[in-house]
Amino acid sequence: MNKWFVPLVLLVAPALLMAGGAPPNSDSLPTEVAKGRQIYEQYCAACHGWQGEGAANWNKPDEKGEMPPPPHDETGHTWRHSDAMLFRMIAEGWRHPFNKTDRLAMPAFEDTLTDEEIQWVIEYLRTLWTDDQRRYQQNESQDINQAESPS
Amino acid sequence: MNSDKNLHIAVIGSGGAAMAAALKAAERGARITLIERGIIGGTCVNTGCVPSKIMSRAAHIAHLRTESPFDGGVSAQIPKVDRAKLLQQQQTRVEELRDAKYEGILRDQTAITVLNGEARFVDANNLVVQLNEGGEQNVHFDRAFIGTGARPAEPSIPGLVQAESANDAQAVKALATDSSGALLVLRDSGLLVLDDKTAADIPLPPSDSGAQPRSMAKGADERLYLAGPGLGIWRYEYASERWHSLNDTLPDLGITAIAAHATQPETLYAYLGEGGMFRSRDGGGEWVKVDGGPREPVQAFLHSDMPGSMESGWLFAGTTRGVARSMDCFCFWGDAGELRGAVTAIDYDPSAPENVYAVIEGQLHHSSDGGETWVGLEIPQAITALTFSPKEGLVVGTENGDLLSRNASGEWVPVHE
Repeated sequence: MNKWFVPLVLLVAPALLMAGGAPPNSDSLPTEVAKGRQIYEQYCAACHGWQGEGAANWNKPDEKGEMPPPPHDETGHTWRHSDAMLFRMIAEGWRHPFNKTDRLAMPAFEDTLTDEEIQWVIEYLRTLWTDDQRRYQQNESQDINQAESPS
Repeated sequence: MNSDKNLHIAVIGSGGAAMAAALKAAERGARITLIERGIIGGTCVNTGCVPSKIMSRAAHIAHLRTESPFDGGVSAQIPKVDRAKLLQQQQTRVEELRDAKYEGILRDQTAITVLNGEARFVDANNLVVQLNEGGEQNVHFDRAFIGTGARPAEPSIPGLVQAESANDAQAVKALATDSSGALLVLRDSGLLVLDDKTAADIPLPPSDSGAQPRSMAKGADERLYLAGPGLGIWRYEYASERWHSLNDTLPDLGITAIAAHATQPETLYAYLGEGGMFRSRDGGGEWVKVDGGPREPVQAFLHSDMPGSMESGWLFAGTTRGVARSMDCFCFWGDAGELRGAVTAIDYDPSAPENVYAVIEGQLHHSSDGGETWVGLEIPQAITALTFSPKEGLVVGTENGDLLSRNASGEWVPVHE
């Protein structure tokens, strides 16, 4: 995965979204967002919900001892993570360290989706957040980029 | 005495001693400049005997109305206490007496000039008054009288700090270590640096009398942070032996707990009562609210570099309900295991980060799996503080003021004995 690819795409797309404030309706969705939504509905919505609402009781372990799929909308914590981290979670999958099972509860999509497609999904997720959350996430992404940039 | 004629005497303070000196000097023909930085008058009238006796007299009368030896003949009743009105009555009386005993007398004394401000000596015959209303005034004097009251002080005697004193019986409020591994011990009496050979005081940062230093953290670069309600957050520079306030961008000083990032020297966390969780990524220059925090108030705070986080580590918050845990992205606060009770101290073993220790009601609890399960540890005293020392491993502070660590056979033994 080329990690420098991520910030480059983001320089353009957030600007389109920030300008409008509320998420744009489907008629005027930027192309990346529309594509991201399509991919989300195909690969992600079955677990994370069609509106990004997540599983019920997502913040407590389920009967298998696994943390259930969290929401991606404003009630969840996806907006707490930098673009680089979101990219990594989709590409490499994720197992909560305190899960009682060993499997990747969140599967890895790096063999299913291209880097570009993963990026489109993140663009779509961004439309599910509040303005404040988008600002917070943008700052997180900048802080991480600065921390990882060679000085 | 003729030699007193035309003398100009500077009197600093306006309490009992200063007033007596000023009046006697005036009686003997001197000119007096009396300087007071606060309220005119002494402790007794303003903040001591008078206001406290008014309240104790009111309390006594309330008691007699509720219960007296004459309840058989005089009906008893529980009075309704209006504290605001009592305070108003108390204050009115204080002001009457202040006027009668100090202000009125000073008004009538043409030989005494009163300056409201803070005096500072320039040399043996001059002082400068920083006036409360703004500006400065120079006062040239022939003689000066300092009547500003007294406060207890420890004499500067080598070795005194190591002597058995009342301080040793004070509960340890917080523990940390410095870069050399010496223990930093916070008690009500102050902050002590202690290693196997020496002990020294670190004066606490300047603050209002209501400040309660109670939380210490060591940064990833070994710097020391101290915080508490009324104090805010301060960083100590070992080289210059100075405290630096980190409070410029905090909404108020009501910090109950701080934590320093385990590996990022500039990242700090603070819990501000109802204000929630704040984070600084520039060493305390700018604080940003990042989260509301767990549902219950936080009393102890820890950042750990235990593996498995989505970001750079984990946050453990000791609340009034137990231990709450979140990745340091503040995803969400969940219960760390089933441990229940008000947590007053928390720490972890940096060399084995899954090992977390928490104190509830003086009892020490240990988790070897990052807070999933806990077991109680037997320990001979009630514990009030925790830290990890590179030399001694887990060090605990007790309510009796002792410092204990475990020896090779696992027994708790006093540190540095």
